[in-house]
Amino acid sequence: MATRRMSPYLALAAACLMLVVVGCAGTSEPADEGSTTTQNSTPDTTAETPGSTGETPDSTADLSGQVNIIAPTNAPSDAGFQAVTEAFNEAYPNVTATYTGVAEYDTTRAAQLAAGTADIVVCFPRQPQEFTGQTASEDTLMAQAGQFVDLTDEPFMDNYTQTVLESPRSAIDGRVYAAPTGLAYATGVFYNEQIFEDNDLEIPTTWAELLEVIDTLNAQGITPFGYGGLDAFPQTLPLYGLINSMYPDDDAKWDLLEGLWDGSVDLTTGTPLEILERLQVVYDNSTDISPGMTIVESLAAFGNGEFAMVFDGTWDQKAILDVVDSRFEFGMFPFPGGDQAEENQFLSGKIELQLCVAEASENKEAALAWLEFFSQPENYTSFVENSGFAPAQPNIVTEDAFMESIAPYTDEFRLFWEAIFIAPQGLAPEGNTGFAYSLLEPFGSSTPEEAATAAQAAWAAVR
Amino acid sequence: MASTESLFPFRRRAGLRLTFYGAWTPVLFFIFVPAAFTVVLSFTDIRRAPGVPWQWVGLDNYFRFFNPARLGTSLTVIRNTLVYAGLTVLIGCFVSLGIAVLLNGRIRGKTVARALVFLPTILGVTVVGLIWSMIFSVYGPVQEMLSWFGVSSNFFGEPRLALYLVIFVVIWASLGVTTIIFLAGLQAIPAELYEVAAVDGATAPQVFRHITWPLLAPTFTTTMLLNVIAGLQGYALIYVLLGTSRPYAETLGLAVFSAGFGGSSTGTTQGFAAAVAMIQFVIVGVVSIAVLLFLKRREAKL
Repeated sequence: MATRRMSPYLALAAACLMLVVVGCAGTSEPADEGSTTTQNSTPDTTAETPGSTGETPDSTADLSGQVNIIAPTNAPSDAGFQAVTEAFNEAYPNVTATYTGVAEYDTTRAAQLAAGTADIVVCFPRQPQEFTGQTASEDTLMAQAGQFVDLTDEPFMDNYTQTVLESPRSAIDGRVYAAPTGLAYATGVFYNEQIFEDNDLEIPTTWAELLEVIDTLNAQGITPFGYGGLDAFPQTLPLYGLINSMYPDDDAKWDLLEGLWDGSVDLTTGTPLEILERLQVVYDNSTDISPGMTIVESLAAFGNGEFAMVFDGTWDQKAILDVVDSRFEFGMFPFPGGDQAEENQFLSGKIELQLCVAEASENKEAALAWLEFFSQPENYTSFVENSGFAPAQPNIVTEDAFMESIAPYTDEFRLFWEAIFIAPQGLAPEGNTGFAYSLLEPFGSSTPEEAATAAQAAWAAVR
Repeated sequence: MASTESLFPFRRRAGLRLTFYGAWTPVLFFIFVPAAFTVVLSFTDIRRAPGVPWQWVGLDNYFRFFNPARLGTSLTVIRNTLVYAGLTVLIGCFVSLGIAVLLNGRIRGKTVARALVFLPTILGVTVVGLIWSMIFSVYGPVQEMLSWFGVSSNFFGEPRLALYLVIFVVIWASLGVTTIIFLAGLQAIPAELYEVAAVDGATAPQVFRHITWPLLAPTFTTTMLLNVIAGLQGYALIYVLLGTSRPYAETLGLAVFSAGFGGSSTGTTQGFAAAVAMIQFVIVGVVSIAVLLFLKRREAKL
């Protein structure tokens, strides 16, 4: 049978045409996988919408354009951002603001900032510490290079708690480039009030009282602690609680960090060693499956009453509320790692998502208007109620009973160790956090003394 | 006439040149340029953040990887990479070969069995990770079975076990492709050879040793080489199942990913990521060439 062969030139032309067609096909904007967006999506009916008068002030009508806001996706904060964005779009009819919660946030942010398509992004500029002598973080370098709008003199920044804005995790040489969306506390322990009540237990305020609680629970066959070790960071939370007790204020923590860098702190003796010894007690009294549990599994197990206390941050209080499902009351107390009650009376934490306006934004004015709208107390209240963040503005009254319950422990904002710690380049894993928690049982097989020696050696090697 | 044949399918040399250089252009643009660019980046402290100035840092990124302070960590990463590649390649290839030989025989339900073996390949890394994270959950079915014997495990949360569990999952997920390649190699062996062997009264092990194994050698070499390269670069399932914060299970591929895309909090630069990628490239190149030479020599002996 005779067949016709395609001319090679024709084949080449066809291949070129296909390349052009494929190239052109990529011009439509693909939706981000794992992302949520306010545009073309059904509004979250559970999200509380901030109050909007429905009237459009003249000044808001003058503003037009598009504002693209991106943040790492997280259901409660997504709901908060979406609610504010929808209200903003109502108040500013000629501006279209779009919020997108992104799963692979860092990569997406870099790409969108490079392309000039992101107007408001989550960023974490921080004051470089001179004693480290090393390059500042990426966001700090960007702020210093003028990539983020300096918000210091924006009137709406006065709405925020000044100690938060002045924190080294917020200001760089006195200039503020980011608006804090909220605060989160991570040095407390969630506890099952029912178990405490059934066993006549009081909230412990010292290490000795905590040991008594542990003994009582063990005697009753109740496992004292649990944590989602598979997600890595929950196993560090008791360590941060202990550091918070032993080094209660920010200055003490900064001194500890500087001491690690200059070698004046000896990790193998005194308070640092005591921290590891007490941490081992916590690990020894945690459920055996803690290292293999995800955070979600640990919260579910806590909700099922498998242990009396769980380590997690306040950002998960709404998730705990869901898993507990009204079966019992729960609360949080500061981890009592110190011997004196006054050392253990505060929760410390971090500044949650911080919002920066891209200097390269084509809609800077509209972006600043969105941030101003977000910062208005009634809109901000709506955001914190949806997100579960502790407010970073003073005098915010929410209906969140949990946040009200921890208010006595959060009078003054203090940073927890993770928010302060800076590792030198090249530091071996044993030295990470300054305390070699990962060498202790059940993650390793070292004694606290051996772990402390390993951490000391790791730090000595990089000095 | 002869000159026309050498230019086939073109009538003139210009056409041949046009297609030759036309084909080289995308190869140069999409392979050599990015590769050369990666080498250049490895001598800088460039970051993903736009607008941030960068500098030439010479060999600093390479020295940083082999810095005595973190030499133990770097050697652990290299050791993990070799263990990961070695076990996935050796166990994966020999198990696949066994399955392929079985599926090439006269068994019932052969088509269904082939489909089942190939199924994990279709699932993709994330789905595979999801399935096995549920199976190896502390509340999962394997834990339940262990409890019958009075023991329990933290599975992916056990530092001494985690990497090996991931290797098991990787082998499970990649069996399909390797098996299909071996199956194709087996089916290319002339049936007459097996018939002659049967007439001569050869036993099954003798048939495998003297017919299947030597004639499958080129397929085995190719499969081994591809799997060695994939194994030395592997990180996706480690990332899905364990994340990036497990020094005891970190491979070079994961180290490159963590440095390049691990987030601004890691303090690393894309320049450092490029340097680790170059170190990985050298290791992959050396090991691959060594494996290729060994397998080619083995082929010649068979």
